[in-house]
Amino acid sequence: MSTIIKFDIKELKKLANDKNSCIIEKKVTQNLALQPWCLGNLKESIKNLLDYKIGKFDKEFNGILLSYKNLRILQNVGTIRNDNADIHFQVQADYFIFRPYVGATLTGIVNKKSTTHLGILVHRVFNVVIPRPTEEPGNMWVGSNINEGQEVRFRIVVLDLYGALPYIRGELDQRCVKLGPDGDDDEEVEKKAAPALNVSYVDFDKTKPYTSKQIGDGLPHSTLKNTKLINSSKPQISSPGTVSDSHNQSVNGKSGFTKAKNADGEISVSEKKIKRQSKLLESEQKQLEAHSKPNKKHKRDVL
Amino acid sequence: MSGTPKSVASLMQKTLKRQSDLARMRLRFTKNQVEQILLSCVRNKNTGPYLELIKVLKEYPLNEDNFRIVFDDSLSCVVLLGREMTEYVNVVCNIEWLDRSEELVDLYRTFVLNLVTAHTYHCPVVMMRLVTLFKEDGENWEDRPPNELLVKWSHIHDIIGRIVAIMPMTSDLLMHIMIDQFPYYKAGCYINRAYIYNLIWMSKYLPSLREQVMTAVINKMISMDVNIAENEKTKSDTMFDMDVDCQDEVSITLDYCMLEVLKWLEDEREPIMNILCTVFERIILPTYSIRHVQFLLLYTISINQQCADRVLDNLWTIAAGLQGMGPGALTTRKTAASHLAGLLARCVRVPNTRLIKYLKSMAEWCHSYISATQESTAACDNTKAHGAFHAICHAIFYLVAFKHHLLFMNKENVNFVESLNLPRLVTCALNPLRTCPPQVTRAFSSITRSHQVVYCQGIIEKNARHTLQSTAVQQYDEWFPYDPYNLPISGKIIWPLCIDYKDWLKEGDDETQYSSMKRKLEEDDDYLVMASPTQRLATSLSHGISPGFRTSENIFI
Repeated sequence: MSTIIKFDIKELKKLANDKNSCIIEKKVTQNLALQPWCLGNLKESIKNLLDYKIGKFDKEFNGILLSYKNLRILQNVGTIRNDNADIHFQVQADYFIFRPYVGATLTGIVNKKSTTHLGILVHRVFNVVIPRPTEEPGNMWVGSNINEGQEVRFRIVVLDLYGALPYIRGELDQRCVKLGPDGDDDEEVEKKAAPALNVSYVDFDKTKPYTSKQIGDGLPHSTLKNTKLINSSKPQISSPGTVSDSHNQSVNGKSGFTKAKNADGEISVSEKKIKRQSKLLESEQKQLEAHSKPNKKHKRDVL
Repeated sequence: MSGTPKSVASLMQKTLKRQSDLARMRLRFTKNQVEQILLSCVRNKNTGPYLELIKVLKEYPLNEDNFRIVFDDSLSCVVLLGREMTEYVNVVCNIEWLDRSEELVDLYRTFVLNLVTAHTYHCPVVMMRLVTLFKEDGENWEDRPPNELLVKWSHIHDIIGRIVAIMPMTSDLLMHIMIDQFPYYKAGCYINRAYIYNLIWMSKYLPSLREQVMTAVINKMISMDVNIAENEKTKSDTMFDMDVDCQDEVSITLDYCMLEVLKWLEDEREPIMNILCTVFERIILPTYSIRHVQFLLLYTISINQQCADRVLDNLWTIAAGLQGMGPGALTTRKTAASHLAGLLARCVRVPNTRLIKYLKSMAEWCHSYISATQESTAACDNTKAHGAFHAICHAIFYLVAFKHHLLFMNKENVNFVESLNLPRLVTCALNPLRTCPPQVTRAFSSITRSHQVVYCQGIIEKNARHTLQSTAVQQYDEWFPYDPYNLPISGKIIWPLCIDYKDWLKEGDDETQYSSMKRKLEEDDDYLVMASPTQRLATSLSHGISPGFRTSENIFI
C-alpha cells in the first residue's frame, strides 16, 4: 500500500475528523531502537523505520498505521541499555491509524461484484468482503442490486488484521441500501467527497504482449484483444469489466445511456472533462439518470 | 521357476496401473458434485468425500469438462472456501490452466479473482502460485520470446494486474513474493532471464513498482557478477587463456540479463534511467570489484546528458566527501573516485568540457588538501588516514595517462594540464605515487615525461627502494570498474559506447573499439592473427594488459 496508494495529510485529516471512518489521529510518544549504523543519518533512519510500519498492523497502535506527521525526536542523545547494541530514542509523532472494530459502520466503494459476494474498497486501500448470505433462499439478496462503482454502507462483522492482508468481512446495512436516491442528501455529499475509484496505477494495456516489447510491428494477437482492454488509453477507471465497458459506451454515444446509468456511481476524470465540454449531453444524461443521486451530486461539484 | 514371483508381481502392477489409467479416463465429475462435496464438508463436517476429492485433484490431470465443472462449482461456493479449506484452495490453484483454451483461462481468472476478494488471506498462496509459473523451464530465445510463451505470460500478468487493481494492498505482497521467488543465480540462463523479463514486464503495468523492481533485478545481477569475478580470481594465472568459449554458465546468464535490462532502458528511457541512477548510488556504488553491472550506468549516461551530470556530480561529491553529513566511508569514497575516473575516461559520450571540469576540481581539491595537511603530517605516512586523497590523486593520474591524446593535443590543452600543477601533487609529503597501481604510475610517468610536464622517475625509484626495505608486500587497488566489457551479447550494445585505451607508443592505430571487437568475434579462433609479432612487441612494451588500460584486444586473448 505504501508504494501504490499514498495518502496526503489533508485527506487523512478529513477522514480523521469523520467519526464514521474508523480513522483516528493520535499523538504517540514511542521508544524506537536503532541499529548503530543508523546513526549516520538519524532522521532518515527513523523515517525508514516508521515507513516500514505503514500498512501493517501494529500492536502498539492496535490498528493499521496509515501515515504520520510532525515527526520529532525528543532526545539529542540516545540511550544504550544493558549490553544491547541498540540505541534507543524517544520519538513523537501524530499517527493516523485505521482502527476498525466489529460492529462499526463504514462506507466504501464496490469494486468487485460477483454472484456470491461483493468486494468493497474502503479508504481506497482496505478490501472488505460482503458475502451473500447462504441461508436465505432465492434471489432476495439486496447486494445483487448493487453495481460496481457504487458506494455502500456496511457493518463490520468479522475482523482479522493480523495477516499479511487485513481481512474484514461486512454485512450490508439493509436500511442504507433501501434508502435509495431520495434519502439523506447531505450525508451522500459528504461521502462523495472521496474521489471515485481509480486504478491509474495499473496499466492494463501493458499486460498484453504486443505493448510489452518495443518491437515496432506490434504483432496483433487477435485472441487477446478482448473488448475489456481496448479502452485503457484514456485515464482509466475501475477494473476493466462490465462497468468500464458501459462507461465507454456512454462516452461514445447516446445509445449506451441506458446501460451507462448503472455505472454512473463512479465518475472518471475523462468523463468529467467530457461533461464540461458538452452540456447538452449532460442534460440528457441527467434526465435519464434522475434516480441516481450520488452521481448528480458529483456533477454539481464538477460544474 | 525363480522368475515366477517376479512376473506375478509385475503382472499385478501392470493391472493396477491399467486400472488407475482407466479410472483416470473415466473420472468424470457430474455437475454440482464438487459443490455438494464442499457444502457437506462445511455444513455437516463430512470430510470423507472432501479428502477424496483433494486426492483426486492432486493426482489426476483433468480434462476440459472436468476442469470446467471443478471451477464452476468452486466459483459458486467461493464464499465457503475459508481458512479451513486452505488445502483445497492450494490444490485447485495448482491445477494446470495455462495451456487450456481461452474460455477456461477466463474461468480460472474469474475464480481466482473471486477467491482473492472473498478471502484475502488466500492471496499469498495465489500470488505465489502465479509467480512460480514464471520459473518454468523452457528454451532460451534470441530476440524476443516466442509468441505462445508471451501469450501465456500475458495471461498471468493479466491476473496479477487485476488482483492488484482490486486490492491495492497486494502490491507490497507481490513484490515481496517476486523477490522471494527469484531463481538461484546458478539455476540457469533461461530461468533467470525469463524471470527478469517478467519482472520488468510487471513494472510496466505497475509503474509505481519500478524502483523496487529495478532494485531487485540489479541486486540479483550483482550477485551473479560478483561470483563471476570470484571465478576469475581463482584462475587468475590463466588470464591469458581466457576464451569466449569457456565462459561459464553464470556469465552467460548475466549476459542475457544485461541484455534485458538494456532493452528496458532503451524502451522507457527517462523515468527508468533516473531510477537506475538512484539504484546505482544505493547498490552498485558500494559494491566493490564488480565487472559488468556498472556498464548499465555507462549506457545511461551516454544516452542521457542530464543523468550524466547528475551521476558525475554525485560521484564527485561522494569521493570528495562533500555531502552533508560527514565524509562517509573510505571504501565508498575510493570506489566513487574510481567510478568517476572510469566514466570520464571510458565513456565516448562524455564531453571534454566535463573532463576538464572534473580534472580541475579534483586538482583544486587535492591542492587544498595538501595545504591543509602540510604542517600536521610531515612525519605521518598513514595511507589510511589520507586514503581519499590518494584515491583522488590516482584518479587524476589515471585520467591524464588515459586521455593523453586529448590533453596533449594542442598548446591550449597542454597549458591546462600545466595549470593543474601536477608536480606539486607528485612531490608532496603524502606521496600519492607510492600507493598508485604500478601500471598507472608507469603510463603517467612516461607520458608526463615525454611532454615535459612532470618528472616522477626520482620519486618512483625512491618509493621502490622503500618497498624493498619493508618486508610487507604492497597491495595496490587494481580494480578499474570500466575496464573493457567482455560479455559478447550485451556487449554489442555497450562496446560502441566505450573508448579503448590508446597507448601513446602505438601510434597510427585508428581502429575504433567497436570494429576491433567485431573483428575479434569474427576471427574468434584465429588466435595467431592477433599475436602478430609487432603487436606482441607493442603490448610487451606498453603493458597494455594491465588493468585500467586494458584494451578490447587483450580481453579475448
